[in-house]
Amino acid sequence: MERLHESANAPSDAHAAEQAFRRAVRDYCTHELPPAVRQKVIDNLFLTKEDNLAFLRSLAGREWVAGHWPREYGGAEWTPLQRFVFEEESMRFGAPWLIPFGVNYVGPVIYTFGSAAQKARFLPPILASEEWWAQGYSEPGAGSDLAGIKTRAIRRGDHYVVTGQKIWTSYVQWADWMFCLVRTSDESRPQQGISFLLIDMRTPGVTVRPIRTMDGCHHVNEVFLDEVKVPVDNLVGEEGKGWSYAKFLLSNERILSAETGRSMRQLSHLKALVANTPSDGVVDRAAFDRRIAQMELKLHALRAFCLAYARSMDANQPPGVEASIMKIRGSELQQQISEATLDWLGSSAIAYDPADVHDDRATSPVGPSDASGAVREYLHGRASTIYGGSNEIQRNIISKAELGL
Amino acid sequence: MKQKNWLDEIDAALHDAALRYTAERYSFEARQRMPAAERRFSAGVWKDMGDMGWLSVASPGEEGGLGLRVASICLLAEAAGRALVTEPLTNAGVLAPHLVAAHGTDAQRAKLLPQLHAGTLRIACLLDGRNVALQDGRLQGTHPVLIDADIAQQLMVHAADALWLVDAKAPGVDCRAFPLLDGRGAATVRFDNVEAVRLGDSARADTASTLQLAALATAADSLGAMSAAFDLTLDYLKTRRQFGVPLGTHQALQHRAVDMYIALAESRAVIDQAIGTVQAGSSDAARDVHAAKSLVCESARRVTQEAVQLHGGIGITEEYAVSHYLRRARVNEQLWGSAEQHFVAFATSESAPTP
Repeated sequence: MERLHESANAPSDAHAAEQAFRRAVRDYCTHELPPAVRQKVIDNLFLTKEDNLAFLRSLAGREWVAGHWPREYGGAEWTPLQRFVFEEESMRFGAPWLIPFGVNYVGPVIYTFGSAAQKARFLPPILASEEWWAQGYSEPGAGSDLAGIKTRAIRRGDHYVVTGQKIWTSYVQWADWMFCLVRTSDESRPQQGISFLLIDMRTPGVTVRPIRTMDGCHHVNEVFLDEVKVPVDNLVGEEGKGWSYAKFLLSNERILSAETGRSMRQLSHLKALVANTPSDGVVDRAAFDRRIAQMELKLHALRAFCLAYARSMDANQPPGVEASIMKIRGSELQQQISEATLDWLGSSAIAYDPADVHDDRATSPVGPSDASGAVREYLHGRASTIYGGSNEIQRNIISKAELGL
Repeated sequence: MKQKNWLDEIDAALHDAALRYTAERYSFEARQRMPAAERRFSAGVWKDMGDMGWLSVASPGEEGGLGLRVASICLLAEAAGRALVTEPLTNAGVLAPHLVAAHGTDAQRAKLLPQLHAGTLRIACLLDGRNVALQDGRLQGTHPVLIDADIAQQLMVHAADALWLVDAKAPGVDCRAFPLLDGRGAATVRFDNVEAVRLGDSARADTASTLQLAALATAADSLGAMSAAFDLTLDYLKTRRQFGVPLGTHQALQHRAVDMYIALAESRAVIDQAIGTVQAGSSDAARDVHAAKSLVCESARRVTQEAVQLHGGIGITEEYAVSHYLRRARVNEQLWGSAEQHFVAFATSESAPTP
């Protein structure tokens, strides 16, 4: 077909650059990502702290640990499109989910709002994967309604004394530091009395209690804070402005929430499973094939939406309601794929011993060797429509911000 | 969400003109008062569309067109869906010129294209090839539902790997016209030993790229219909009060409106991606068009049905626009390959491997 003269050059150059970057990421996954970690990801096994660190260190050679950071702080100033492509392509080809608390969350808050001393102290160990970070946001009485937090920080001289409780704190059992939303004032709107503190996990008064989730794994915790002394130097930005920093951070969180790369991998896995393994659960093969095709179409639409957004977005503006759309559609699709995978696995997917997914290799007792991993993915995946602002909250956001209802 | 950036100034101008023209000359209320025949097809409106260049977006500049402009085709189709335009914009304005430009002889192009661009010649295209065949050099067979054949002067028929032009009133051609459920029209067309003129003179005529344009433009038309139905619904949720509060204060309804909005945003992204690959002649184009036609038609069905439901009683009336969008979407589903056929074609197509 005839080309448009106006658009003949620029878009195809950009397209070629995008394809080249995709190839580079795939090349990394094949040659530099530790193969044992990659196999565990493909088999949906639980990753240890060491697995995650091995992954992060393998990125350092290409300076991809914090590719979206500004150059002056050690990043590569990726465009939103590059960042999206990296996440998509790496997860598609077996890289782990990059646990975001240091690199994606607290790092940008520190280099955007932190003091010179905080930047010098905290950014290099994040880049070098030497310090593990966790996020102290949710509380028993404040989940998606985060402004309701009650953990209190009282100023005493050059310290805050922090008392309260955090919950759903992911991987804090591995953490050296936790960034934390605390209440420093009750006087005005609930959002205005919140501050952003960096807490050393070795401080006396900090206690971590594991919460085992339905996949039998240890992802999340409760953190009890009992008169924990935190130096005033560990306050980020201004006292009482923590809510705006948290919103900045949450907008960073939502930008990659579609997880298209993971869904591409899981859907390919399902198609291979259907091609190679008989099912004792599915009766109507044609109906099941149709279900797969419907998920492919949803994935096609989600990718078109994400790519258009990544190509057009301004990295300096917080994401709009597009981020909520990606979160809703991405998490729903992830759950549909894992449900279908279990349906195909049939009776072999009711066997589940959490010990199997903590192994170094996939060793399911029945069915394909990675059946336990598929069960884990399904069980753990039930959280994806709840965390990061539940899908109901995302719909509230769109309703208010975009539709004006 | 951000406003769309148009590809170039021609698209921007066409978009402005389409919005202005349909608002001023094609309002739903005014059209409701028109006599039925004029509501089906207005020669004045059709001439205006020709004058505004809307019938010249699928043929090359050297033939008097504006070049093949896939984004223009789709933005005009979207505007047509929004305004419930009944004139044969896609069929006579895009497909016929595209086929003539691609396959016609020098003489045929020189004769037909100026008339097609000006709107003085209306051709309805029959491309699906299942019902009408060539027997001893003559057209034979019956096609049950050919859209726009009720108002076409000529018919273009794909048979035996070639395209054939025939006058709608030629001996042996029988067009039985009937209205469609959305106010457009069609005919059952019977060919009995009909002599037709071949378009072009040598190579077999491949209509795949024309059918891609047809399917994509129809998806864009449905996007226009669903987005107009959504706008009406959102407005209604904000203004209609029940039990002392606006309907839109209820979370159950807010979330349904959000789901409609997401379906719209996703549909637009899928169409835009297909516009890009079709225009570039990319190997992904066929798959992207199958995805667009099936996904957008399915979404348009759901969104327009929800729009009727959320309006309550007024939603099912003839005098209010929302049900007309539902009907428009329903007709579009069946045109140029049903949504289901495109879904199956999508499912069996492989995406081009990333290099």
